[in-house]
Amino acid sequence: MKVLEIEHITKKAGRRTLVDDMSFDILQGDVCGFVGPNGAGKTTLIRMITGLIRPEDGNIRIEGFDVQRDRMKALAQVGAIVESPIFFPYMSGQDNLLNLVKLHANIPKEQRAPRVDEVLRIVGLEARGKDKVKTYSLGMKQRLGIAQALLGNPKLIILDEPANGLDPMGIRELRNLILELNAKHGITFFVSSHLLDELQRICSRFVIIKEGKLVWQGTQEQWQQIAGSISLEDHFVEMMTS
Amino acid sequence: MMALLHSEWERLLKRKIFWLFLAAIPLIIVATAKYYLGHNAAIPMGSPEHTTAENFPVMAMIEQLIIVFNVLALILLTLSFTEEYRSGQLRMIMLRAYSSAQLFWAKWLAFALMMALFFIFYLIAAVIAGALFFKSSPEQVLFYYDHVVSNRDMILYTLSYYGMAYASIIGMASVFIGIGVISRSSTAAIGLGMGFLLCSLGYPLIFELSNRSFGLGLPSMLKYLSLSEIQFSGIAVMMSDAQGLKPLHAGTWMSGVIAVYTAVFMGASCLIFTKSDRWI
Repeated sequence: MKVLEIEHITKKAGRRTLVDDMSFDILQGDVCGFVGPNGAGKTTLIRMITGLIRPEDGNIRIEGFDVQRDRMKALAQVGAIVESPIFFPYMSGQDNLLNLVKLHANIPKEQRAPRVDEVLRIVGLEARGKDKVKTYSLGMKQRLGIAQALLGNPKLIILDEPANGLDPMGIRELRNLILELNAKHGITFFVSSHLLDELQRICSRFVIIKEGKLVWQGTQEQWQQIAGSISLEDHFVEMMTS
Repeated sequence: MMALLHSEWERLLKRKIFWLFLAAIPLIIVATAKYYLGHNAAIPMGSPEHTTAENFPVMAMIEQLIIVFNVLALILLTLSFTEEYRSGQLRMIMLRAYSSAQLFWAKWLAFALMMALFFIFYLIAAVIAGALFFKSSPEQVLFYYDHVVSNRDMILYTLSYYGMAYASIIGMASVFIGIGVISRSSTAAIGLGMGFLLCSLGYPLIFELSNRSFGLGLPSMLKYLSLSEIQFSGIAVMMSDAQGLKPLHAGTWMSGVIAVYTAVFMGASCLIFTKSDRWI
């Protein structure tokens, strides 16, 4: 079943085409890596998926709901971190989540506080939940970012460069968290990153873009077959430079 | 929508500025009372400028409306619209299943409720300070009134004055929201907001000077195109009972000015906020 459908999406900024006629699907249960060099249009596409910006052309559907025409229903299925997770710094991590959980109609009032405690526990922040966000490290903010993405029990989680600024321990924790959430809760992930090596460890599928255009999409096995004897990283560099 | 309003309201309450201003209100009231006590020494009893226990709430509002309440509105709106948007904090809200228009109106409503709360608290503090610092008088002399009024009428006058002052703040706030929505930074929003306030203060002076110096013969009501002039003297003119001012239809004119400011700037701000791409 298709969780995310990208259909002939085009986005321009002035005369520049940031995303050009891009189409692909993400299936339920996928952990999909979204790969491309800086400026390829990854964050622009993620902004369109999450309804922050509008495409000039094309359709984006989440669980069958069109993001432009049926925004509320579409976004109710998604949790996301776009670029870096920025919270309200004058509030604690727990208060930030309590403030945001109100905005999920599917969580009854009496279940809001337990849900916040639950997501804090899932991301391993239960001990620091009452501390102000401004005292958090980057890794803790990333984990809190995932916690806020989990709040509404989404079917799809979109993470934009989630490993940015994380140390090796933080990257490992993040990887384990994504795999655990995918395996235990069946959440579909769409993860953009430069760290191909890292994505290889968690992703079953890949979407590769370059200069706003789709270059290749398929499963990790298919990619390895195409790459042959060379590493995926070398093959990726070849794709980007050819 | 109620959840969104609740979320906005909660964040405003968590800000230090809310509690700082709430704590500052009694201090502002006491400072204003001290000023009027000194002022009373030079003002005869029968003057509308003479402060009594009963008219102090109105006098305290006249004294602080332009600077304290306008600047507070500017700061709150800059934090709510510009800072949250430009810093990327608002992205966490915008990713949820709500429309931009709902978010815009929730922010406006949370601000309007907060200002109403400040006005109520200010009125209560002013009533208490009036009773503590000033002598009571059985009758009150009002600006632009041909006759004195009873203390019962003074209560109604005070409530009406605060209502109009609140409406003027909403009008001023609509301009600040417009500035907040287009500003690239909080500094720019505060700077442009202060600039608008200064222009609003300067316009009546320039208008009157030009009208008199060049003999333009323009209607004097045109000076009330300035929101700060409405706040400074317009509200009293609007609520006037003097026969000489009746033909000016001041109430209709100034209510219309406030309504036009509010409709134009809120409409434009909402359009910009909802229609533009959010590169945050």
